Amino acid sequence: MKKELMLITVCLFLASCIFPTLASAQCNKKKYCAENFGDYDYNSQSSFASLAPGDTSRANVVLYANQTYRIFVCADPSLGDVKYQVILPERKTSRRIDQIKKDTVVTYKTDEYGEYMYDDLGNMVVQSKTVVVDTTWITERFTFEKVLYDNKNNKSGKPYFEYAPKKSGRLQVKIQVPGGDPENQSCVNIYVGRKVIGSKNFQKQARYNEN
Amino acid sequence: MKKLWFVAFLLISFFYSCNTTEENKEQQNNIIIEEDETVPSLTTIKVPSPVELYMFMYNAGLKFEKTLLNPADRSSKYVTTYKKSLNFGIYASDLAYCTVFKQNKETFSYFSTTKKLADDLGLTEGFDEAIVKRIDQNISNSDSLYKITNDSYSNATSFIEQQGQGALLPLMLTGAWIESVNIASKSIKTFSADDEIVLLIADQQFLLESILEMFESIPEEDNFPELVDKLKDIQQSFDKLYDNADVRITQKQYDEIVTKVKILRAEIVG
Repeated sequence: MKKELMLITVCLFLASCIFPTLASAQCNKKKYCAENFGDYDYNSQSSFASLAPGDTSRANVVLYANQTYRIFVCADPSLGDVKYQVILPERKTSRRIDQIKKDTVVTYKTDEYGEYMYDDLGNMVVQSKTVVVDTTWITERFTFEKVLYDNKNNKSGKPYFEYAPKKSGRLQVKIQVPGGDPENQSCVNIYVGRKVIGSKNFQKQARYNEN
Repeated sequence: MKKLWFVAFLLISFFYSCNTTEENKEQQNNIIIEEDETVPSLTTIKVPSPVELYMFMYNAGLKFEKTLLNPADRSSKYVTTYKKSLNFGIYASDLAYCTVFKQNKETFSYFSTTKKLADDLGLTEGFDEAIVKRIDQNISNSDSLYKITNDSYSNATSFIEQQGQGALLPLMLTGAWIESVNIASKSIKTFSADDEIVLLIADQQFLLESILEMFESIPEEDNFPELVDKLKDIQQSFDKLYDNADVRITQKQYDEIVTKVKILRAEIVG
């Protein structure tokens, strides 16, 4: 009897400990906003998390040129109206002068044997004076955040962001879950779908909602 | 017996309430953090699967070269978790290469090798018996194999991410990345600054930046400073591309990058 009690207690305790991890792992099995998927492959960079009201989250993704992307965030309706922005961190470089050094280089006269010549006062005879300017430059790098899409200020009328980058680069998706009961933790999924532009190969590319 | 279950219920209620109290504390912290927009509660870093790079190569008409792969029979050499994690990434990338280039026999062989390492690393999602069965049933269907292996890679990385297994994910992604860049660079016979694949190799700097950010986010004691230093050295070579005005990458810069990748890859698979 005691052994049974101990066994049940240990099993239930372990189950309660791993419950939060399992809850998070279940988010990738849930398909929110299936109507937004379209003909895109969501396998590569979508992310799934269990968040609580008031949480903020960021996802960094890498997008290749020559592909079209569809990005959107969908959460369990119990979390309310989740805000999100798609941000392009632009890296710019600027070169500026660090310092300008001016040095005077003096050369002295030599005789036919290569020995320095001296005047009546015993000083070496100056042949020429040249001013040498040495400019050193500093390259400074800055990162600016440019908002490409804001679901609360969306004029496109579409519940997703579609993007065909001309250059490959990194994008950031920023999420803010509205406040509420902190115990009401639930799934917030970031869907990043891609489609190769103009590819005739692999017409039957993997689609998220296929089995 | 009823009494026994009642006691068990009381005990689990007690343990669960302890657990919930701890969560509340954490969530209260999150609310405080929320006021400072620069520190999000959760930061996720994702990198494209090697499938994407190989798809570009396949569509560009490049040929499959088996000699570029890490031989499948070498997998038994990898004993430590560190080596297994890196080479799991190497083989996952090889598997993606075989699948995209519709090499069905090699796909099966590399799936088995990748699965063996996945089992050793305790990855139960993405490379389970059900997937082996699906591969077996679709061995002659390239499109299905593509979908199955693509799903496997994605499920495995999501699984590791959600389990929060320290350095396993960045190590695996490092292996996959280094193998993809190595295969892509060796598929190019002559350098041209306009070549689509050369440009894709230049684009790999963004993936490397993300991988290094992942290493930075794990505790110092779980990190691998020697490997990270080598990756940072490759990143320094990539950083020079930011200074280019007319071309994305010069031959000298390209050679420097692919040489460093080749050396690190040799160390990983050796």
